[in-house]
Amino acid sequence: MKYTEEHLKEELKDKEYEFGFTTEIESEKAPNGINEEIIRFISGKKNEPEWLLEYRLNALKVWQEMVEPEWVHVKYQKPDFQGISYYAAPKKKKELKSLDEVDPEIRKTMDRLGISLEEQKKLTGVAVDFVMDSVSVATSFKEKLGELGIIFMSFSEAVQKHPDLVKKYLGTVVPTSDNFYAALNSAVFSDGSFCYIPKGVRCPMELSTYFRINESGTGQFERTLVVADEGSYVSYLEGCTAPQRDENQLHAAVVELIALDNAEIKYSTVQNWYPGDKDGKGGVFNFVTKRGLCETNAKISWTQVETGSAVTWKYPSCVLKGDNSIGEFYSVAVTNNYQQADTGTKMIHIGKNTKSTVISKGISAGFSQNSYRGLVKIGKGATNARNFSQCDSLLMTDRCGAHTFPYIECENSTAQLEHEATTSKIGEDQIFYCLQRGISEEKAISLIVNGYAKEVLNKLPMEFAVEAQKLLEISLENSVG
Amino acid sequence: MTLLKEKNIDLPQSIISAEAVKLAVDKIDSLDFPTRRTEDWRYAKLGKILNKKFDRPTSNRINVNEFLITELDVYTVVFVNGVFNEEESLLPDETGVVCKLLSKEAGAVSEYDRLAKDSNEIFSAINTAYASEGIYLRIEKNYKVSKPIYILNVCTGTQLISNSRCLIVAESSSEVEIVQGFYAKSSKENFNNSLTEVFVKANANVVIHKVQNLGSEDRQVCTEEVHQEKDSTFKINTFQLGGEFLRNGLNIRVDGTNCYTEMNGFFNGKNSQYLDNHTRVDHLKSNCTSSELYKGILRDSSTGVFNGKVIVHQDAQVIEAYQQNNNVILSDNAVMNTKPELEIYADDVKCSHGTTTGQFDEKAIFYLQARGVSKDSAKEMLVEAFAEEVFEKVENEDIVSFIKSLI
Repeated sequence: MKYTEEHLKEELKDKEYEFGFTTEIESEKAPNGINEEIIRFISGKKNEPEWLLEYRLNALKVWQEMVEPEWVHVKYQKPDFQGISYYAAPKKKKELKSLDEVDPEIRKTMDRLGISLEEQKKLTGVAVDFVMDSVSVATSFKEKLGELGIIFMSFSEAVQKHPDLVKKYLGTVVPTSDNFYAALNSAVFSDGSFCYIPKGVRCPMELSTYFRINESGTGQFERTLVVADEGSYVSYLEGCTAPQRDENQLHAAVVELIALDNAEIKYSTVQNWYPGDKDGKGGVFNFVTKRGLCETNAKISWTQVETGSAVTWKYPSCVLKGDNSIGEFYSVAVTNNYQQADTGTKMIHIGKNTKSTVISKGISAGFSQNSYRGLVKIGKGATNARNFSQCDSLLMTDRCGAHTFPYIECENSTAQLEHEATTSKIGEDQIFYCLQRGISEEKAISLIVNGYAKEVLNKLPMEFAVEAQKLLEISLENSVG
Repeated sequence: MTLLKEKNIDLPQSIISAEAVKLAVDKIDSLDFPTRRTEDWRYAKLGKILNKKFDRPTSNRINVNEFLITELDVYTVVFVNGVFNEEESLLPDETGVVCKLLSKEAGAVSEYDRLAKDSNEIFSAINTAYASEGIYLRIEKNYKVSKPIYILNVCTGTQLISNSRCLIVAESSSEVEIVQGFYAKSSKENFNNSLTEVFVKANANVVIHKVQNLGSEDRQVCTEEVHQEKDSTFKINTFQLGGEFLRNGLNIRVDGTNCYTEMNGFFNGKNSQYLDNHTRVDHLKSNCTSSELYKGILRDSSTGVFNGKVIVHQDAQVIEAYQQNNNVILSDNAVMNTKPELEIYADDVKCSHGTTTGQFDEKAIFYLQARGVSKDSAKEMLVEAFAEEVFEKVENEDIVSFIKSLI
């Protein structure tokens, strides 16, 4: 029988029901502020089991005793935590009738990124007719994943459907008391993603929040938990290159990755939240805690391209607990205008023969401040640990800053640690070389920047890499005077 | 150090005026002692100095011959537990050099405490309040001192606290080489708090060799505040050898164009030593170069800390700053914490830092073993070769052989 739009609508109706609780709450909003009552309210609304409520309440207690960190090399107006509503139903974006109503700036960028019209509509919140292709693609993906036993769903759904798995792993990598924002997130997290790859399964596609319908508006306190069981593999994509306007100023997400024996997780992020205007007004505060745990022979690889947000504060880390485990971190962070980024990684070597690689490329333009802050720690038992770190910074103007704060702590005599960093501006000779060959200055700079960031961009899944490359170009437009 | 925080203890006859002492004491009150949560002290085993009670030293005359550099013709200025020892000293008597005791001069010298007073380091404030003696050196314009000046500080006795103070003013186009030595003679659990201020004026050239070879139970906090004017050269070589707890804070403000700054260091950790080197260079003006090389060996259960900071301020363009730190860990109980930092606010710069922590190449050891060298001596040969890069930076051969004889 021919698959028609009618069928699809039928299917989606069921889906609506499946995700029913998200639609139900739309009209409700908790009063501003954070206290025990609010936590109970959130938990109740989400129909959460008792243990999760306890977890949240405990986190609240821990959070209330913590102070906001001051050591970060950024300056910002601290958020008023009692002035935020911690449970607003996902803001229903004003439905626009056609793409013409979308901010032309955003459209221009999307066109240049090569994002298809249909996707543009989806991303900007234009009322879309059911787009046959993309939806059926999404559902067929889900089916395929289901066959393999892969669980990939929203966090709230996972709490209902797989409470044992969630309970077993939640908070094991990022404990509630880890830091101020992680504690806040643990108390009030709104939703997020949960992913479980069973033993020995190699996930056949890049998992991405991109493909998931009913997933927009996961809110400002996102919680992601990825568990790769023994011998499995998964590549996970987060975010997208398209610019995202967002009403919420504060984003405090927590991402936990667990790679059991012989498993491998590849986690790629492209972050392009609203960075504020040219004078540094507005913009998103992105305070994220990301950490992965590697058991024996496991591998976790973080790749990130950070171009957005007014303030970024993020250190995707690896705890190399098992012997022979591997941690990797590849990062490109671009700051322009008045953006501030303090980002880097932590590699904690505990097991024997553990290896880690850190490649960080910072590019600062305008009046921005871009810092790399990293920790490599070799524990007493981490025999034959190996680390290589490289963090380079590129300066585009004389009013921006690039900083490096690497911490290297070694307690073992068999470890080999190397760290190197350079800071410089684009060589005039390099630009001259290009100009001489008829390449305009703007093009020359993008050429050089892309070459500089290549090492990291290469680690991204292919389609993403192409977009990220264009994104770099756009982010740095008009940045050289 | 309850002794220092107690308010009602009588102050010694200080170098500076009563009001200035009061200011320093108020500052001590307003500041807290560092804890493990203080970023600059996070690795320090502070219990070694903070939870001890130290007494004030009494004057002690001892023979210091064993610390002299026999091959080298030098002027000597000798302090024992922070007290000047005239008999053992041979003060410079050249026309272009003013060499006086701070207790007689400090009030009249405008440079005194000018660099240290803005510091928020409690140990500097303690030094200002409690130092009862120190040396003041001024090299006159266009004058080159004919031989090095050797400032000896010897600790002796048990559980005593001494404050060493030094003020060096190199007038424009002058030149001087200084050896600053810290030693111990039948010394037990003493604490020395040293503060040196150096003014390097236009086109002047100052070289300091600092040797720290205290007793195995002694502790020291050593601070240098350096101010460089245009076209000047400042070079400091630090050798951290003996002492249970050695903490160095080297702060250099390069406040002139066309300056050259060089910092070299070698530390050799044994037993349960704690060896800490913090350096900070502030590039405030354009066209300057700074270069830093610190190398360390860590044996037994020693702990090493290196924190190098290079800050290139916004108006300082065309800066080249290099920082290198290499460490070798020879024991499973040794620990090395390193943190080379760059803070760059200008764009026309070439800055780099590199650090490695590891152990000697097995192949190199095997090569030597194959030639009949025991494993231990092979390692020692490699240690020597490893340290050589730092010694090569010291131009004065006699000083090199003197320091090597101490290791």
